[in-house]
Amino acid sequence: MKSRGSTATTRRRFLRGCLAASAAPLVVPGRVLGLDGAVAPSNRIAFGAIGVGPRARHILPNFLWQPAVQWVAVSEARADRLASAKVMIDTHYGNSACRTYKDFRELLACPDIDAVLIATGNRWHAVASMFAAHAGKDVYCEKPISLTLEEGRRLVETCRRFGTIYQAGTQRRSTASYLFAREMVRQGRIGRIRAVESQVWCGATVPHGKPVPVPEGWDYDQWLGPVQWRPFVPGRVNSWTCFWDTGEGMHTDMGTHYTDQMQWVLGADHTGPVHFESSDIVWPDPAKFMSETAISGTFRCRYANGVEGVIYQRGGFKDRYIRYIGDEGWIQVDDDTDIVTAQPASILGMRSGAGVGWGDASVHITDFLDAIRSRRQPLCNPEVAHRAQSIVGAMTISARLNRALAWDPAAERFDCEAANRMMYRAPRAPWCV
Amino acid sequence: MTMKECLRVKRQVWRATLLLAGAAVLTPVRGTAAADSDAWCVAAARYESGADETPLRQFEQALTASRGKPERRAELEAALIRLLAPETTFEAKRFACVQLAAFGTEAALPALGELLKREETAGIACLALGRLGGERAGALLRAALETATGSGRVQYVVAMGRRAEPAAVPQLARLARDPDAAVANAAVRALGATEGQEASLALAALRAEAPVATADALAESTLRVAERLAANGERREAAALCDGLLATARPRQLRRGAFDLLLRCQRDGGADRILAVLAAATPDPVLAPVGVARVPGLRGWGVSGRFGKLLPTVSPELQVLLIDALANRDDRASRAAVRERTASAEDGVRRAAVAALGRVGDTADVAVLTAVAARHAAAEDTKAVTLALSGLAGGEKTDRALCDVLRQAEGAVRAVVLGALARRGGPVAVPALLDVACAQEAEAAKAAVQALTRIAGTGDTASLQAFQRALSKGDARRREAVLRALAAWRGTAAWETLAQVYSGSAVPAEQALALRGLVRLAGECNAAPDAALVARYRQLLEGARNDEDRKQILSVLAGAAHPEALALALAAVESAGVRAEATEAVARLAEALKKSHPDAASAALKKIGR
Repeated sequence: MKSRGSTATTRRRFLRGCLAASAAPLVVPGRVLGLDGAVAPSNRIAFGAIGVGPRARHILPNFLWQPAVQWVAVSEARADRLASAKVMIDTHYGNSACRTYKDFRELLACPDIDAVLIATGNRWHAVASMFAAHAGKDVYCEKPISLTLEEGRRLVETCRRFGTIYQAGTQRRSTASYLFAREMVRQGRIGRIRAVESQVWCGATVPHGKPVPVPEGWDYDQWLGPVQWRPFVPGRVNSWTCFWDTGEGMHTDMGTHYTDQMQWVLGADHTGPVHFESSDIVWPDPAKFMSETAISGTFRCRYANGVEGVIYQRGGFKDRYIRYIGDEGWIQVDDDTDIVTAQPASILGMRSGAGVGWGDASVHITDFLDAIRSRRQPLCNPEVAHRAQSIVGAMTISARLNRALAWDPAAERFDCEAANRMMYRAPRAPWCV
Repeated sequence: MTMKECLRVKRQVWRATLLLAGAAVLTPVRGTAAADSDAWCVAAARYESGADETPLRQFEQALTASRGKPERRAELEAALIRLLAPETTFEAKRFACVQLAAFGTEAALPALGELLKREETAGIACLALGRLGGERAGALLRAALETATGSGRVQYVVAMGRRAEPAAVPQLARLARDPDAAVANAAVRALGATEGQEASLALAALRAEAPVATADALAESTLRVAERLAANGERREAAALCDGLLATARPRQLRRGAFDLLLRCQRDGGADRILAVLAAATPDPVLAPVGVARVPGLRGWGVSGRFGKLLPTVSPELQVLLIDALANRDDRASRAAVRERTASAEDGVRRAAVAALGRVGDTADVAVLTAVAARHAAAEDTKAVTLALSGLAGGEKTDRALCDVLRQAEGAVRAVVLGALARRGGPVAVPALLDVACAQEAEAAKAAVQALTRIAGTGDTASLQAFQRALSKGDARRREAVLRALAAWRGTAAWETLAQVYSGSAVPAEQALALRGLVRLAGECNAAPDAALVARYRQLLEGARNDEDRKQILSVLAGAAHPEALALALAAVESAGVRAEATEAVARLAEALKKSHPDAASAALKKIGR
């Protein structure tokens, strides 16, 4: 399916587009002007979306209201979602100009697109990001940024190789409550930090289901993308976070927000822990369920300086939090309410201004837009995002192998051959870049 | 023997193997563990989506538990290999390949080789082969590629690229010229991933041919070679390769990457190259921002000065980027260059310089920034200067400098200083702000009151003391301004001051402002009512000057869900002047307390007749 205005994906056209884009004039970032003013249409950054499911529809409004952004196209393997995303964007602009593509490679070949939002399922995040980097597009990608550790490192290398501006959607770095907690820890208000504790909600289970014909309007081959082929089973497709091929469970999905915070607060953005282990893992009953990822468990890591990190996967969605524990107190951010608590409570008196909660990614997006214009790296650049993702990825491997693992953050290798092999999964051709 | 017959024979062999494995489950001479894996194997061989996955999970658990037990691991691998037989389901084979990826050895190669021969199983075979060490796995892939057709070829080439074995270079070099563009591009990328001189030479030969179909992949692979050269300290060679990728006809992403690597290859971090790009008559719009983005990290004596000197000569757009980059260097020379640009006639440049100075400037820059506000009255300038003044370092010293300006300033300058002092929230600004708040000029007074209210919103102890001093010494107008700020105080620290004014002042306006603050503060504490809060309500009710004040107090008391608050409200019901408000408060409190204190709530409701 190719909608009005789409272009054939030929190398010549692609190259011509790149040349045209490279001749574009320099534009002035709003941040360096210290202003948030209106932007002339000629200076707007043209965006396309890859994957327009529930997450994309949640975050799109944050982008749509940015004066510096113009949405021009969307791509999606499901026809129903593709159509509704077009309606959403066209309604915002009051026209019918948004182009639609089933295959995102056609969108990436459009010369008028500067950057993409990638909000697909997790299996696509790194691969689509690398395709975008190859095509000269800057990338805002939802987390988790990769499915395997090696894929994450390749993403870092690819973005560096092509000078891609890449922002991971770990927007809590731009959220007032988390910024405040970080500042308090870094000012030593809770003394020397000893541990970072966080909690994500319990994972779902998916009952066994038999293969069915692919529903009309689905391009299942495109949906699978780099995943080696499996038959279409509704439960597996709709609950893709619960299967190793397509997701890695809740402690990875939500946990990467917290490991990102932990790395940031500890000043460890270019390194990572040296030890991983897991315990109390409750796996789905294979007689009843086909889902593979953990229902609950405790995932731990330790840095070379002795600081411990722990992710509890337990409780409900609203119970998620992160707590920094020092030898003179603690500070905690409750994600559901955005409320900060601390001991001693006097720490809280130092907070000024409310700021936006994590649900509003506009500050994070603004950082990305400014980075596109100045070609500097944004807050959650590939290295930062990969390091945060590596932690939950390593925790997953530890849980799957049921053993503690030593990790060399410089070489990015485990002390275990099987674990090292689990850092990579061969993608299905042709989804390899 | 035909191909079909060949396949039939192979299937029969596999079937026999499986049957033997199944039979082995019943054979008592085998160990229990081996019998288990045989049983799982038989069950897993039939696995399809929708079936019980217990055998698969048992397989996985056994594999992880076999660490340090090579014989057991070999048994399990043998069972996995049996799952690759033609008779097993696709999903059984897929499962086995996933496990072999983590735990397999060369023993699995023959069976994986069989999977490579069929297009539908080539991908899952590569799941395992991508991770198997040893030359034999690579040789297997290379052999399979010789006879493969269709999409499997790309899959194999990608797997070879992942393995990056020098032995594959001749074959990859041949495939890089394949008429199938997907295969050719994959082969060029695989060459780029392969270390060693052979791969580099193969890529050099390709460059000499200047192929169109693989131009981008070749450029990318060339960049990879350059990256490795740079990492090995062969900077000159790396730089030469990068230089070859900078032509404007290349895609912008390749030019960006090549230029960035080129800069990293320079001993000076690329300062000379960046200066050359920026100083060109028409700076390259792709390379210039990449260069500027590197400016903050450049090392060496005089770097800031050189870029600072260039700054006024480049286009306004580049000036904006360079100002930001110089500000990030944050040394004396870069600050001086940024400061100088605040005098620019170009709106964008001037505002960028103002914003940057706000990040790196200090007390000395108060005069520079206020001068901008004096010269440029546009709203964008006013906003930029206000934000910049708010961000200046220097703490109290800068606050005092701003207060000095405030005492003499008028118009736009006064507006920006008022805005900045409000944002900075420093207590030393309180007297100066009060002066303006009490002045005749209404607009400035209003802005000063807003600034004072904002300072009050910080709840800072030093600011409270400043307000208290002003209250004790001020005239009526000044006291009123102080009370307006205290009425908006954050936290309960201002309670005593407000309570003293409420009970001690003879001025109705002061009483009203104080009560407003007290009621607000009490109301804010209603979320966590305790004995201390009730004591505050009691103090307020007992000291209330009239029924109107009591009504105000009762309206907030109704939100303090505490049994003693209920008692206070009940007592007030006896007072005819506030009976209606007290009754309403009792009703609300009883409703809030009916679960925690059912008896008290019930009695209270009974007393008010509900």
